[in-house]
Amino acid sequence: MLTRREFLGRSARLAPVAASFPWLLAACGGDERTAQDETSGKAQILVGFGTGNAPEQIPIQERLADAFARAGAGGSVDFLRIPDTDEAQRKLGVLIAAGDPPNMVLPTGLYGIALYVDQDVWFDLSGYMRDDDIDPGLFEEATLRAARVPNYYGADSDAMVGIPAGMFTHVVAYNKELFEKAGVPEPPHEWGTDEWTYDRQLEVATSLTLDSKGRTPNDAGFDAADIVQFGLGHWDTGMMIRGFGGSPYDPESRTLAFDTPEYQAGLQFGADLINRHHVLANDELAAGVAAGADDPQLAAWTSGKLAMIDMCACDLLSYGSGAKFAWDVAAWPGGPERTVAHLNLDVGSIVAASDNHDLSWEVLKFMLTEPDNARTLSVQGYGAMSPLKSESGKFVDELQDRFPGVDLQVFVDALPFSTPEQEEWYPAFLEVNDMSGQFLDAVYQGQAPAAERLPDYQEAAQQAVDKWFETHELPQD
Amino acid sequence: MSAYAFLSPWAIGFVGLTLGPMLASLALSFTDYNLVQGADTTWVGVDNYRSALTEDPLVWHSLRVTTYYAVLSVLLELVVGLLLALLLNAGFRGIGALRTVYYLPAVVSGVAASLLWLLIFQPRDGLANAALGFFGIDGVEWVYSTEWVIPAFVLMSLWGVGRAAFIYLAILQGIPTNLYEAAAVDGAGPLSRFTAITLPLVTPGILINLILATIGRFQIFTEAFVVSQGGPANASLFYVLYLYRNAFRYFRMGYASALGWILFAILLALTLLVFRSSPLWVHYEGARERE
Repeated sequence: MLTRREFLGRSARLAPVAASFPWLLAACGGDERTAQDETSGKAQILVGFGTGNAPEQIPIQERLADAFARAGAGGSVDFLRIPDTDEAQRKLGVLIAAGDPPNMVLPTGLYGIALYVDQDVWFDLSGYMRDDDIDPGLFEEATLRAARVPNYYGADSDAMVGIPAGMFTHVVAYNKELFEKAGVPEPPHEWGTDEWTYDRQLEVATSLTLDSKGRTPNDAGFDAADIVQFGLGHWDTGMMIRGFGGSPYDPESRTLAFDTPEYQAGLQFGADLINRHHVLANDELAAGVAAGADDPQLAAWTSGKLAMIDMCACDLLSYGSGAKFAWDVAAWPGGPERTVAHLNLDVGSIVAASDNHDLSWEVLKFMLTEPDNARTLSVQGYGAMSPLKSESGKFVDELQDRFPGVDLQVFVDALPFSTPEQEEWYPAFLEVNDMSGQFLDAVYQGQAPAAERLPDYQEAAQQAVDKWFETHELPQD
Repeated sequence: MSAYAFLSPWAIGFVGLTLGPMLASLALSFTDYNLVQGADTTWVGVDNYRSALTEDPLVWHSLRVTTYYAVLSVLLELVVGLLLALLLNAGFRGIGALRTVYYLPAVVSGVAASLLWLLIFQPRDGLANAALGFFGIDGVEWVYSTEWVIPAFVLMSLWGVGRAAFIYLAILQGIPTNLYEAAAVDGAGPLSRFTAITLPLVTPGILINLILATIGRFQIFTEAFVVSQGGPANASLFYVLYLYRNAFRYFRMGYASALGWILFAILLALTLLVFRSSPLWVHYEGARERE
C-alpha cells in the first residue's frame, strides 16, 4: 500500500514525463500525417482567411478540386474550412505547432500573409515559377508586387509567397435616390478628375447629412446627436491618409512615419469627418440610424440611411444585392497628394512546414494560372476580379446581369489608382497594428487631436520595430 | 490499494492534463518558444520575466486595469451577494422560483451573456441608457468610452452574483434561530441582530467568496474578448487578454507562459494574504478562530 506521501512523491517524479505528452503527441501526429500524404497524394487547403466559406462559394471550389483530380496530375484536394477569420489564422499557427499543417491557404489576403511572413510560414514559390516558366507578367502589376512582400524580401527580390487569386478594387457607391432628393449632382464615374476631391466630397456629404428635423450640418440648430441620415458611412478613413501623402513605413531607413505632417493631416481629416463635420457614420453612429443588426453599416446602407459608402468589389453581394433602391458607383475622390483607393488582394500560398510542396504547387498552378480556372475561382468563387491581365476585364461581363444599371466598369478603371499598401507588411506588423487602437481611438472619438497622439504612437511603434530588428533579420540583409 | 485504483482516473487526468501542461508552461517560460517556429526555441533564462516586469509597459498597464476592475467588482459582489442572500433567506411565496432565477446566470454561456450585455450597453438604443434616461440622467458611452468601460464590466460582473449569494444563503440557513430569539429578548433590534449575529457568522462565506471572486476577477477574459477586445485605447486591456494576445496572436508562447506564472504568483500572494488575515476577521461558531 502506498502512503499518501509516497504517492505524491511518485507523482512528482512522473510529472515531467506527463509534461512532455503534448509534445510527444504532436510529434507522433506529424509523422503519421507525413506518411499518409506521401502515399495518398492528397493536398489540404485551409479556407478561412477572409472569404471562401459562403455556401455559394463552396461548390465552385469543390468543382475545381474535382477537375484537378480528374486532370490526372496524380493527387487530389480536400478542404479544411474554418468559417471565422481570426480563428482560422490562430488555427494555422496551432496546426503548424502540432506538426499537422494544411498544405495551402487559399485564399489569404495580404493581411494574412503579413501576419506570418516574418515567421517563415510561407513557402517561396519563385523557384517553381522559374522551373515551370510561369511568366509573372501574366498578373496585374499591383498584385504581383503585393505577393512579393517587398518590405520583407526587398524591392529587387523575385521571391513570391503566393499566387494572386483574386483582387478587389474599391469605389464609392451612392444612393441615387438620396442625391436626387437633395438636388445634389451625382459623383463622377471617371477616376482622377480634378473636381472630385476630399473637400468636394465633404461638401456633398454635408448636403446629404440630415438630423430628424431635416437640417444639414450647415444649418443653424443642427442636432449632431439626432442624425437620421449620413452623407458618408462604411468609409476607409485610413486610405485618406494615403491621399494626403502619408505612408507608415520607409523600408530604406527602416523607420515608421506616423508623425509626419502628411500622416497627421490625413488622420485628422478622417477623424474630423466624424466628430467635427458630423457627416461620417462610424459603426456606433450607424447603429444609431439602423439599430438591431449585426452589421450596423450594412443595415444603415440597405435601409437608405447612408448616401455614400466605400464599396469593395467584395461587398457587391452584400451591400450591392442588399440595396432595394437605385444606386450606382463612382470613383474615389482625390486627396491633396494622390488619388488612391484600396486594393484588396487574395493569393494562394503554400505552407512551408507542410509536406508535398510539389503537389501543392500543381494545385495552385491548376487553379490560379489556367485562365478559365482562375477566372472561375476569382469571379464566381470569391466575387473578385481575376488578377490575370487577360481575365480581369471579364469581371464586368460576368456580373453585369446581376447588377443592371450599375457602372461596374468603375471597378476595373480603379486599378491604376488602387494600392494594397494599407496591408503591406512592416516589422512588428501585428504589435504596431494593435497599438493603433491604443493611441488612435481617442483621435477617432474626437477626444484628442492627431497632433497630440501621433508622436506617442510613433515612439512606441518605432520601439517595437527596433526590437524586431534586434531579434530578426530581413532576407535581403 | 483499491482507493488508489478508484482515484487513478482523476490522478491521470490531473497529471496529464493539468499538472503536466503547467510544468511544461513553466519550462517554456524560460525559453523564447514561438508557436510556429518551435524548432528555433532557445533557453533565455529569466529574460521573459525581466522583460515583462521591466520593459513591457502593457504588462503594468493591464495589471492596473485588472486590479481596478477586480477591486470594484469583488467589493460589489461581496455586498450585493450578501444583500441578495438575505432577501432569498426570507420566507415568502415564490422564493423557490426566485432562487432559481438568481442562479440561472451561472449556467448561461459567458459568450451569450457578453453579447447580451453588449446590447444593453449600446449608447443609443441600449437598456442601460434608457434606464438612466427614465430618471432624467444623461446616458454614457459605456464600452465605447475609456472612462466608463471598466464600470460597465463591473456591472456585467454582477450578472454572476447569484453564485456568491448561494454560498451566503447556505450559511444563513444554518444559523440557529435561537440566537436571534435570545438577542430579541435582550432588546436587540434588526440592525443589531444583523451586525452582532448574522454578519459575524457569515464571515466564513465572505472569506470563500473573497478568495474565489478575487481569483476569478483577475482572470477575466471572455467578456473582454467578446465585448471590447481591450479597447478603447487599451482601457479594458485586462491581464489575461494581453496574455492571450501574446500567446495566440503574436505566438510568443514563452513570453505568454511567463505572464501566466507572474499572474499565478500574484494570485497566490493575494490568496495567502487573505488567508493569513482571516483569523482577524473571520468568525467560526460565533467567535474569532484564535479566541
